[in-house]
Amino acid sequence: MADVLKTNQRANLLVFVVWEPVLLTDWRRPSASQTSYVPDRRAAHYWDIGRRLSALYGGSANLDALAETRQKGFRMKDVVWDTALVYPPGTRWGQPAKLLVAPVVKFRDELARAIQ
Amino acid sequence: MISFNFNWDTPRSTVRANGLGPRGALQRRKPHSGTILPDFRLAPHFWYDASMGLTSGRGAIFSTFASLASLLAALTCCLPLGTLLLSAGSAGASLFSEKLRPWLLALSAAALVFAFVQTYFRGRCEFRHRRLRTCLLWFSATVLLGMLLMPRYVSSLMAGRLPSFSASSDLRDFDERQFIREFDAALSQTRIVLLLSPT
Repeated sequence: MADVLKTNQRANLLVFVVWEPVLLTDWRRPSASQTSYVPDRRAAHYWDIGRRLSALYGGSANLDALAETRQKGFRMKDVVWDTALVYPPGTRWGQPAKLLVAPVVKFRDELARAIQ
Repeated sequence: MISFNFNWDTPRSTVRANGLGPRGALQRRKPHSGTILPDFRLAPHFWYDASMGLTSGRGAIFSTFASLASLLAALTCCLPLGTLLLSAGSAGASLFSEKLRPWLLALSAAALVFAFVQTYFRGRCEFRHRRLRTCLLWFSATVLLGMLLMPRYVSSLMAGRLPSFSASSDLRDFDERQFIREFDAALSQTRIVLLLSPT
């Protein structure tokens, strides 16, 4: 993701990076150095210990309703994770995104095209 | 030291239904002097029991598994490298398979505990390369503990990058109301929402 943002330096972009515990090894709160994985000045980082955002999205069962275009490369069990959603200007919370990709690393080219 | 005595010398075709070979009885090789000699009756005719005749069904399966288990135990005793490799291999593989990660890490921990017990509490077997074995044991323990306690740093190192210890911005606790407020406040901008696991 850091590479995608690096190649797209336009200012009119905001990135919400929500870290959530999913794997067994996510047993403790990450330190602030976690933010260095997306070291962009346009990025805001959150630690979502209760996986509230995933619940707000309706879990993985609701993925198809979250975006107009979806590119999924793996099956999520119940939590929405390793996912990026792109919302164009004018989209309010609750409206579908323009693009959903998961996992992020697999569809970074599509992601880069969507934010150009 | 343990040596193995496999009964390879009786061809299957010569085994009769009463359990006797062509010479009237199965000949066991004499143990080498000064060795503990488990008599494993493995392939090519591991289903054959010299004292009981031909075995079948559960007995055959049981004796097969018993033979394999004792062989594994003996090998692990003399070659704890196998256990260590199992431990290191499963810990490493867990980096690449998210679904299997909990199981592989558990397998790795179990193998490592077994290797520690064999090395420090049941050191019955002599091993020439004790120093190498000890180094490997502690190296595996370090990697496994690193995987459990600092998975992100270990992953970075194994991916060929130096882990970063400096923060590029704040890491705030997620509050859904505030998040939605910030999301809608940036209505004029393109927004990306990323949901990621820290490890």
